[in-house]
Amino acid sequence: MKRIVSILFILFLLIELKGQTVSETLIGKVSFISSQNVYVKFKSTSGISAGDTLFISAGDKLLPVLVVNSLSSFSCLCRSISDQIIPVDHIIIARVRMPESKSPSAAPAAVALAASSVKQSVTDSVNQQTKRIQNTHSVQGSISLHSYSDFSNTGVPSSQRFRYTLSLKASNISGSKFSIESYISFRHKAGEWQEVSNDIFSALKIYNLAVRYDFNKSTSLSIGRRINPRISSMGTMDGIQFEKSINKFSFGLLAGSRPDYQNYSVNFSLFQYGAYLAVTTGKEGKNSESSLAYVEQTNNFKTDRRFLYFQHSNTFIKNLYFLGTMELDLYKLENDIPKSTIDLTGTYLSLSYRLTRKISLSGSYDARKNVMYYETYKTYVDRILENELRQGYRIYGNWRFANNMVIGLQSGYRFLKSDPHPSKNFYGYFTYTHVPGINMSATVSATYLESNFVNSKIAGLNLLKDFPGGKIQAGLGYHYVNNTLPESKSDVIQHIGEFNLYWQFAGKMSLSVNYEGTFEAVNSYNRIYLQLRRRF
Amino acid sequence: MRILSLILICSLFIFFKQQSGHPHGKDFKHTCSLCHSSKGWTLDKEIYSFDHNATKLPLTGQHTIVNCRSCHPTLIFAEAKTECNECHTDIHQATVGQDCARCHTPVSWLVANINEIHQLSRFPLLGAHRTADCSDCHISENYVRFDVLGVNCVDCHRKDYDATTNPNHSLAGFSEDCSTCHPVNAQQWIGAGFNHSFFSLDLGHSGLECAQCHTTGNYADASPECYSCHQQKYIATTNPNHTAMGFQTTCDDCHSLQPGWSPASFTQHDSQWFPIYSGRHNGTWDSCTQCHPNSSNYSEYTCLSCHEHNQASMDSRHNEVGGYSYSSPACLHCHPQGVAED
Repeated sequence: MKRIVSILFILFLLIELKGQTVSETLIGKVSFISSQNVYVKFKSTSGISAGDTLFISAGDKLLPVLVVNSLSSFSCLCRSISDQIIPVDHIIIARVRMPESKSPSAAPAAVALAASSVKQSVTDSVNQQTKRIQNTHSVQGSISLHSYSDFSNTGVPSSQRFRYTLSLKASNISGSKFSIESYISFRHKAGEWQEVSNDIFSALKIYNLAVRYDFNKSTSLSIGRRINPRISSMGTMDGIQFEKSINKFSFGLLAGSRPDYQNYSVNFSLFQYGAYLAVTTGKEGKNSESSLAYVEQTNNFKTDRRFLYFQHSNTFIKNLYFLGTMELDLYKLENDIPKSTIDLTGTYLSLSYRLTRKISLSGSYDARKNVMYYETYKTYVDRILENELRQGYRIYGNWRFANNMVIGLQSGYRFLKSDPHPSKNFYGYFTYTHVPGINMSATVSATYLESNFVNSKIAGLNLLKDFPGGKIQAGLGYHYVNNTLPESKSDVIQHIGEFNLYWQFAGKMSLSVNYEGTFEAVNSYNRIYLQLRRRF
Repeated sequence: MRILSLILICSLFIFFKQQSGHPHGKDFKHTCSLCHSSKGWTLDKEIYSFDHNATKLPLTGQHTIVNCRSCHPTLIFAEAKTECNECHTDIHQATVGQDCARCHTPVSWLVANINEIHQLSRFPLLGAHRTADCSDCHISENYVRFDVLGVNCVDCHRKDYDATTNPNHSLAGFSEDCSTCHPVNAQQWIGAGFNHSFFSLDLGHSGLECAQCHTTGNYADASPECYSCHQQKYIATTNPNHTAMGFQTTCDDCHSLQPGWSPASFTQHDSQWFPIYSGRHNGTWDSCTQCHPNSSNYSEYTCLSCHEHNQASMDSRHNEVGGYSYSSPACLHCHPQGVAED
């Protein structure tokens, strides 16, 4: 019996392996000829391998003329094996064996048929599972309670603030094409309920509350309040947002209003509309996304702001991530006369590169002005004046030089034209991730900073312990801060102690507790933050 | 039977891999048994042993309890995004950059390191700024947009500056750099928080009412010159009579800030007239009137009031000095440094 099974199995494999590929012809063109090599460009080199022979057509025959030395996804570097002179743009033919993707093997063997049936079954199963993942009903989200307490011995009244949030994402509700997403918070201070009663929107902040209808996999329409991730700098928007994807291209249209500029409620007089085009390329970790958006914002149908927003990210190079955004204002009001302009409102460039598994480097540049809404801020003269460009950069790197040891350096610089002088900081740390005996992570850090009104030297020690099971994490920290106030040439010494605890319990419940106490010669300040969150 | 099952499972796997492509992408290199068992191709949580901490994004905090599909919408796990901003929509409207980790951790969105964030910004938090609510400075309609703020005091405290009445800063033309008088670490605008270091309010100047020096509504009018406040004292002095003596009106030439105008020192006496703070006469006198008996005329002086300088003794010691006379101007003429050997 065993022998029969083995024979069947081998036969089964042979038949299937034979039947799994088919011969196919790929057509390319000579794109460049050097003294040594010939470059041939294909639509795709999928199926071609180094060492393959490429042909030209001679009547009803194929003549071998080139051998592939190396190749990229759409081009082959070849050497000539023929005396034949092949000019640029000459048609080149590759014969490749492609995996059969549609029909099962034509082999009539019953075993093969049975096998193909099983194969189809597996394929279907996977496809269905993939489809299920994309289209099945799912509800995810969280509710959380936050408490922020600040108290000191300075005579300043204690402050107690609460914040409640609801985050919800219900996809394909009951298998339909409707989905809902929301992010809502309610924030109030103890003892200031009257303010909330007077204006509920002073506390209630709706960042996202939208219904999306997916016409199909590539077309969707959202109605409600929603932040479009392709133009996140614009903030949330009330209205409709439509997106259509065709292959790697997507375009979108949006129309509606921006939230009220005083309390974030709905304000239909702030009508806005726009469009964007996005391109997404790559696969399996090597991606690129670019989007360009144009938006016109109005106030009582008078142009308030007009801008272009460009965003690009890519992971083309292994271990490298680049993100860049740029925002250009195209409109300004000068002495009540509308003008077209090109004014850079915001730029953000960031680059992260993992040099090796142990060394990573990152840097970012950030330049930003406050956004000007000429109609809305007409009565806020000072706001219009606050339009200077703030620039800053940050570079940092980490080196895991031993199994349990990491060192890192960071430097930052920030400057606004009206600042007395630039702010600079330098930060370095050393972390020992598994201190013997106590099995904790210990970080020693040092910071030097120069800012406009204080220069500081900071030394710190932080301990972090993950308890077995990964459900509890606790940390302790101490920082010694020597602040020098250049104006009064005096020093302010601070001792800062901190404690934090994260506890995950009852499945998806979590509690975060953070305490920070700052002690000066006379004054002391305390801060306790709590968060209770339930995911679902 | 067990062998048959094994063979069939292997066969299925080979078919699947060869013919339909790997469901998790062609570069997927993990063995099926990390997640799947013979129960089927759905995830078997009982045997699940994939180490997510070996990936680019180790799971900590909230990431350990979110639904896998939140990050992996397809079965091609390599397509999952690893940068924060690729999954988390920026509700800050690009005002704080895209590096969420500067303020947030996977443990929670609570921003617990406000102090640290500010230390690495353009405005570390000191004094009253430490107890202020975020929205006191970061004013926005949604509490999460952090517009560019100026760090000059008046950028936030313009209203405070304009509202001052005692003194009226605007009228007085005070600097808009509040920190020249009000330290950035102060808790209040007045009292101990006030920085008058440009003119020390120690010793004799302590405990004064502002109006004692600032006699007009314009606080910038107050002169730091002593005489501007102490003119009456100057005029009223009788011992010595400053006016009659033509003393400088720069009181601090002789007086310290010690209350009561004493002790006073007049060290320029050594270089201009006669050494009394150095040399033989240092410490031999108690008051000016010992040498200047006429307090209204300090140009008058006597060298003859001390018992060492009695006439009999002086005459005897100068009997061989031609032109000798027992008079103070003669003493000074021959002994300008106050020593016998001159």
